[in-house]
Amino acid sequence: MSPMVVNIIIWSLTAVLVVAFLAFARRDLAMLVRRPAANMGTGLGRIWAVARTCVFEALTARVWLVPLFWLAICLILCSFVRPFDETERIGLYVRILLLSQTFLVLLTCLILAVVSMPRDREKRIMITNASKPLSRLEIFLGKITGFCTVAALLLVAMTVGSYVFLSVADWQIKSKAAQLYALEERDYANAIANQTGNPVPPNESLKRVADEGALFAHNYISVPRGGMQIAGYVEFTEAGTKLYIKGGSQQRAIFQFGEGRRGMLATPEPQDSLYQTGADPFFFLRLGIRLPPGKQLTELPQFQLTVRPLAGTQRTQEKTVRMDERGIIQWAPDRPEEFTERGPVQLTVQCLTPDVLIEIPVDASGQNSQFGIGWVPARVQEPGKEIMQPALPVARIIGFEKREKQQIAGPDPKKSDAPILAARDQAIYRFSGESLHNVPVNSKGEFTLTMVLDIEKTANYTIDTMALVEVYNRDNPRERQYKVVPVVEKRATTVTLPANVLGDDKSRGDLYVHVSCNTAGHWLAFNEQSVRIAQPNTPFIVNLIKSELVIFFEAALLIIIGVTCSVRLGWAVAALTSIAAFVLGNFLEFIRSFLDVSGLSLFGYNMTTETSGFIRFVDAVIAVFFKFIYFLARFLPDFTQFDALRYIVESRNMPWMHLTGNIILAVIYALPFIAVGYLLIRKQELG
Amino acid sequence: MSDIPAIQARALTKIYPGFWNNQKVAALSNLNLTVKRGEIFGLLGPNGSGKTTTIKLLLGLINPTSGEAEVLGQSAGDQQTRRLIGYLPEETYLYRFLNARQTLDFYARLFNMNRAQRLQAIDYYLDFVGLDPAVRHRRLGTYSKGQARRVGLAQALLNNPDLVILDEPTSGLDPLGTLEMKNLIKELKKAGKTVLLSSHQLADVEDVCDRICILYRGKLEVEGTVNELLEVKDVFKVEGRNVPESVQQEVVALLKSRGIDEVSPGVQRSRLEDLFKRLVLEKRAAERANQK
Repeated sequence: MSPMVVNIIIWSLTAVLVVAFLAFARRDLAMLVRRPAANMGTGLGRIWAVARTCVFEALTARVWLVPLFWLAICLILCSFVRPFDETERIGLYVRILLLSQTFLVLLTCLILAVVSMPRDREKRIMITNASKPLSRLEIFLGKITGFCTVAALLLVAMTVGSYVFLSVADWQIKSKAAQLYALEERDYANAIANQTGNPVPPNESLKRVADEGALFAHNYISVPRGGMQIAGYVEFTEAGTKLYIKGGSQQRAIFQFGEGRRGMLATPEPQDSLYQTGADPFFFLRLGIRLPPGKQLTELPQFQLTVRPLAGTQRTQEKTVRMDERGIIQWAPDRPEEFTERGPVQLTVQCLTPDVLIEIPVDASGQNSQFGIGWVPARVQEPGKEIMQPALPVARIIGFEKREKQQIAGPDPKKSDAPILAARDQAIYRFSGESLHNVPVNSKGEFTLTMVLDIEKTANYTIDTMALVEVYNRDNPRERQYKVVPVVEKRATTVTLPANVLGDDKSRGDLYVHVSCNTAGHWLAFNEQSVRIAQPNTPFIVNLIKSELVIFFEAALLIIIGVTCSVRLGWAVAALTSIAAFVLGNFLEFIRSFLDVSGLSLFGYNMTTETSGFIRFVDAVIAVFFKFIYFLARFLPDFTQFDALRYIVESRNMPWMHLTGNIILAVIYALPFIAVGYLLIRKQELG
Repeated sequence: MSDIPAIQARALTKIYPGFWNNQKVAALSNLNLTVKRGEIFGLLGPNGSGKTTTIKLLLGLINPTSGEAEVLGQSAGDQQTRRLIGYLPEETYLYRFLNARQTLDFYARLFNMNRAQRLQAIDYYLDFVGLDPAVRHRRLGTYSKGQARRVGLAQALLNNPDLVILDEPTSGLDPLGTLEMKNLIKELKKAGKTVLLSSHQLADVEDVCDRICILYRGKLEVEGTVNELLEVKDVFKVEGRNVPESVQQEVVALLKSRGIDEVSPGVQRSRLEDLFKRLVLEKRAAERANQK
């Protein structure tokens, strides 16, 4: 069954459940806020009364031992932490504290939630309660509220415990960093005074840790989705070079109309490349196709073309086109009226048809005469004005995006004489101008760019990795800043830059950051979040509370599932069902991977032509079983969405949007369960 | 007082299905019943006769297979009507992890009582049911059956209900407690409350009920006032205190001379309940006097 059909079934079923709930529960829902008589308050009051008994129930079960138990576990585990660097210690502590919290709170509250209602039924307390002016909905919601309160109380205790623990740890880290920095400073001074060895300056990050500690949450401006490219530099040394991109992969060929520095990607130097009055532009490409041996082309390949104007306000346009029988691809904009501004343009070509290799012939200069822009002189014409047909500009291939491997290489170690600004692989980040208004600028008129990069070394193992950072604004591309900075793995590298590169205060243009590796034999690895602009820090406690809230909403969702399951089931079966829902919801991707292998192959059994009919039958049954499990899992909440650790362990502030998204997600996931729970308890007989 | 009966059941039937919807059990068949406002109505019958099923149907705890029931003029199980009902189940079904005060506090909250009202009501009803103040802060799990029963009764009366449904109210109570319960039921009647009483203790029912009905295998066998049902019209009884034996013999002789053969003279015996009550009350009074 296709994912779309499954999605339609899921959403339809959810909608039916919610509508049925609203229809059947309308009177009970009205009673939640109505006050029909003096001795009968609102349903919310009665829900809270039920919830209080759940809190007492939890206290009787000595739930207050859980935070003490948690603290003891954390103290033991944290004593084994040996960080690579003292600045990482807090992150590791936070990971231990929050992971153990999540585990303990979820488990405790789930057990309490699944046990309570079956016990009320078994001990017939439900009979006494239901004889009062208490609706079934109020009993159900009361149980949920009660155990959510227990979860909240546990998390509050654990948050206080975490904060105290981390504050003490931070104080220790600061003292230790100050001692180490003083030691390094003294050694450096001695080395200079005695002129012995190679004096190593003290590590400035130690001083920063000693001064500021590690209890804060960074805020960053990151590039928008798709705002990063990894461009492989193409060096053309001989005529008739052929380049290939693989069909069905993420490989893309990037062409630029309008030359930039050394032919590199995305260099917005204004030229009359695209702009023409009264004419619609179109692109044409003539490309070759190569097929694997024995493979025949059943249909002409499809291409995804992305046209990105590198200046002005024009939007990027994307289109899927099919190659014609002559091997030509033609592309014209859907909205030509949005495509008239002056400036260079960049075209990215990706082949969507698998199993084909697309051949792109280029000459020694990297130019491709089979590739260009034409104009259709059919649009706005001023009367009596002659339209000049311009000479077709020639495209120049400037690079390949290598999205499958987000790495860039430094210079070839064999060519040690390469200039420092030599063109090579680059990671290119484009920060939207709109996001740059709140960049903090220090008293020296500078702002800070932060990079967190991974390093791989294939030669020159003992020397530091140096990165070349080139920064410029789209509005003023000629004024560029170049910085060469040492990169330390898994540690933030900061680059201080003059604020004028951000552009005009009122209308800031897009900021481009090009990063390349300057050390021969070294590689740098990136993702979209690797390069970002620092903003003022948020207090750690705020970030901690946000993470705790994510845990709380995850626990709340699990409590709702647990209480729903326990409406009709015994506590043991309800616990099993809830745990199964939690596990399936956490391993949806893993279960999906079963479908690719399927059947007995999952257990390493190789099916051959000689395999017996019975084995084939078993294989089919197992395959159907896993398909069913996956189908079932799709109906369950995706618990992986609740990631409390995602930001805080990296000392990054969790965006409010992320927290809000988690809350909305919890509500959306919870609604169908509440509906099912109510429909089950509504007419339940309490005999 | 409203003319609308406190309870009215019309052809009320409850059939419990088996696990596979077979082996059905008819717990109640076609019950027609009316309980007037302000009366004490006794629901009698052996085990499995449908007494508790009837009460559960009236409270909306279970759903009727057919027929209908109205309680205080509203259909059975109506949430708003339940605020006017007090229910004491056959056993004490309360949270064992709460103490007496917490238990009553929970139920008082369901009736929208504010803090002051709750405190007042809790103290009043715990005194009213005679729960020893020393045990009020202990968890119900540690209570004796009688103590738990008193808390159960307090929760049933907490909302000053118009209709009190008592299922085996004297179960687990000592004779003195039983007597107190009977007095309480009479007090409720004086206060204009309607009481539906289900019990096996026929003597208790006889003492307090205005009307009774007897159920057998889910069917109503008989219904009427206690006097009507218990009157033995062919037996004449005269009681006198300090009657000399010679006078007694004269009365017997007179009756026989008039052709009445079945004459059974005897001394009036007090009931065991009266003896127990007298003894325990005397002991308690003596203890109190010693304490003073």
